[in-house]
Amino acid sequence: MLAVSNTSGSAVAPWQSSVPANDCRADQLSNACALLALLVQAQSASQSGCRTAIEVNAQKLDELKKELADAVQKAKEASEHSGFLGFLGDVFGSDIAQIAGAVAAVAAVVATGGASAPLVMILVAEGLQLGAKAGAELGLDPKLCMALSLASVAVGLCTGTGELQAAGTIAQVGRDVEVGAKILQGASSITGGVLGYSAARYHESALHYQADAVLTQAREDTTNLDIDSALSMLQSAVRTAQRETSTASEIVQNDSDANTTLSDRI
Amino acid sequence: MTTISPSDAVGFTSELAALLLQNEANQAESAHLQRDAARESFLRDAQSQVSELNAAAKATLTSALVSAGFSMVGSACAISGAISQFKADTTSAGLDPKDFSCSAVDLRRIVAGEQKTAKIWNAIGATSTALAESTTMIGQSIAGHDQAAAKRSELASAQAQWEASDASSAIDKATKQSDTILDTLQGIQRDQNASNNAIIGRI
Repeated sequence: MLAVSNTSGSAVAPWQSSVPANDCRADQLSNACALLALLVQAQSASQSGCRTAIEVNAQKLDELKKELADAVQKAKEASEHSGFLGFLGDVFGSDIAQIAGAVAAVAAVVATGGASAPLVMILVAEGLQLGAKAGAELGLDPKLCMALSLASVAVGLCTGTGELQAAGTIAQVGRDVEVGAKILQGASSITGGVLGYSAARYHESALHYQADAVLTQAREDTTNLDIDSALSMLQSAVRTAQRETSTASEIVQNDSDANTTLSDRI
Repeated sequence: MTTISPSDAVGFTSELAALLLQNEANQAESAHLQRDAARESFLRDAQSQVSELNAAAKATLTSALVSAGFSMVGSACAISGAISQFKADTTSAGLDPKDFSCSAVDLRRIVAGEQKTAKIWNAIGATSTALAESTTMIGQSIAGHDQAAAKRSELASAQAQWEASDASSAIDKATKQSDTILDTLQGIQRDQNASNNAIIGRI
């Protein structure tokens, strides 16, 4: 449009007076150059601002990437700790407690079995042994099979003792085993609870780190958007500067061509 | 005879180009506004996701704390009950069912008291253990709800990101259209200038 406004005015009756026409062209040329200088200066300022924004955002992006990697690493470590402690909590709070409970139940049978305790224990031990074997063959939970085997061994030991000593002593042993197993069950449950709480704390930390990672990722994405925007503006400013320079060059070229044509004509 | 002067033609072309450029500028401005709005929405949704994740973490920890407390209390009560029962069984084991002396009666009273205590401890322990399980389930439910809300916010932020990307594409498209219009206008001007010079040369 710059060229249009300049050339449309300069194209009117150039043959009427060559000297004033040349003066007018010179004025227009200097005006065009001055305007070009102003426009290019403005575009240069815009480009400089865009470059600064890109550099600042690039530095920010580097920092955010480090923060993100740090948060992800911490979340991973916390998840690993949480998983390990959760596994231990399950072992103590569930498996060991169940085994102890099973032993306590068998010991209770022994303790209340009285004179027939040895026979009862032999039957129970055999039954548990068979149950463990059959369960393993039938694909029962290995933990349960292990609990049955252990209970069988414990009952077998009590049986051996029972054969040697009186029924009252066996009942007392049964009571001792029962209370010991129940205390073990309780202690195991307490340990499982403590470990479960520790696992939950690590899980909580993992969730917090995950939240930090999400926030950092969001900031990184917005920084990327800002960089894209600044790059787009920079490209636009460069294109505009090129276009302005090109338009001014065309104005100068056009004036030169017109002068040459007029000179040839004269 | 009606003639169209070159300046008129250039003026018409320039006016049309100005209108087209104005249109593209408006579209670019609209896309800029859309992108800014999408950016704000994206940040807001991400912040919401962070808040939901923090809430889930808090619910997880609180429920774990309460559950562990109930579990420990329940286990401690169970141990106390087992000890009381053990005392009762041990004491009753030494009693002759046919003995009704004063000491035997006292022992039977002690046994009854220990059995009662054991039952109370066991009942408290069982209740506490059941409460621990219930608390765990409630905590998991709350944490799951918060996690689901966080997922919804994540999806919303992803949508906002897509909208921002679309707006950026629209801005690029408008810029390219403007460039094309300007290129065309420059070409028209160049032709017009050449034509003017040719006319000057012929006169």
